[in-house]
Amino acid sequence: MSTIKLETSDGVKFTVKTQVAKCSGTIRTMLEDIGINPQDGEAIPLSNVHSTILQKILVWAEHHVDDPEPPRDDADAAKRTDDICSWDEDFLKVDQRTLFDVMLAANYLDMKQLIAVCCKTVANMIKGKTADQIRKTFNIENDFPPGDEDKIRLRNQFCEERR
Amino acid sequence: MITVDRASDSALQIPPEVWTLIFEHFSSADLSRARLTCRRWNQLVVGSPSLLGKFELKLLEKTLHPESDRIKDLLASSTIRFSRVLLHGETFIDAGTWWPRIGRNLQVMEMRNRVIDIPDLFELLRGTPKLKVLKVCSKYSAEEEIIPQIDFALASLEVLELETDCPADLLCMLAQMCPRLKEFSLNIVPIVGIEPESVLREVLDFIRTVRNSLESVSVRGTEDNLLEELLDFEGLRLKRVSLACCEREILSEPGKEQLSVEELRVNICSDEV
Repeated sequence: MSTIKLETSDGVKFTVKTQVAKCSGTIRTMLEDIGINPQDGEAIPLSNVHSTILQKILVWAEHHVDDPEPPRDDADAAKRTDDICSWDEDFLKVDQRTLFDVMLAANYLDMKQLIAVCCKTVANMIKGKTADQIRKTFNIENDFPPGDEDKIRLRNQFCEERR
Repeated sequence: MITVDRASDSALQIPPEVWTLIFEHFSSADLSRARLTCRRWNQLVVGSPSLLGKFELKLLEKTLHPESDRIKDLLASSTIRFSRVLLHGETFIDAGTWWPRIGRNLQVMEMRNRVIDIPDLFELLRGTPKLKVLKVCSKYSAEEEIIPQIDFALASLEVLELETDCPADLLCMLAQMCPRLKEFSLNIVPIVGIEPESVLREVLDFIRTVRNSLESVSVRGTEDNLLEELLDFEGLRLKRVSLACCEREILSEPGKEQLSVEELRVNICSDEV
């Protein structure tokens, strides 16, 4: 079975099945378009991914490697957040920093399905919360100049859902 | 390029395009709260056509005037990209000068007016070239309506819902404007104490005009023989028909001529106690 080597930002080398590595659009492009030849034994540098996160992402890719291509983005169906499979749900039961790091790495590695499931997970963390609760959850600073919040509140009133 | 620094705060490192992906899972109520969190999120929401499209613009003022604060405020914001609007206005002053900027991206327009006149509605519709769904719930002014010369079409309109006391003129106008209409729903609400005019002919004319694209018809409050007339039509491709009639002898063989009908629903309501 063909394998390739990946090297993370902290210098750790991983030997990965090519098929699994190709879950990443970024790696696929490197192999197919740019013509990086993994047979040379040289590791593909992933300078934006830490080894702890890559390890986690490889577990996900290994589990999902045989997934069929997802149906083409159906505007409404894709927007549900209650359809995360239980394996993914368990997989993403991690501290917030790890979740975001996985999401960042998935974004860098261009892994659409993993990004999608991360997005749903984060969306579920925000839904139903007030602005204050959201700030606390994600440690976000309220940086509105005085008065701006009220303006937005007013505008919100004019366009929120009726029901 | 994004650098993942283990020591820094990851939430802040998520690039805007990924936040947008997350926000796309939100209802407008969630988005309203999210944009109040910080400036960055607010900018994300108002800067994204797809997110802004989840909001319904509500214009509830009775009279809409280009010099009013509300309209000025709307026009001043550089991102007028609402795709849904709810209008309560009865009077639209100089609509041609300001409405098209709001209307150009609208896909769903709902009008709940006490009274609206047809030329006003006509001018509003002229400014909404992308409209897919139009719901009008209103009464008409008693004045004689002049049906304007129809010189444009609502080429994307697929759903039309009318709830009114007197749809005749309106149907006459709209029939010529909806080449792709799929769903037509009409609820005639008579004014108490006034004998409703017959609109059977107008309703049938309307359906005949749009029959090539029409898939679904729902009518309440018209004369009972609508169904019989409808079933005699040629060239209809209806899949769903829903009618509410007063008690009377109803058709004997539904769907005899209309082989395309998949669902036929007739509600019989008796006036007699």
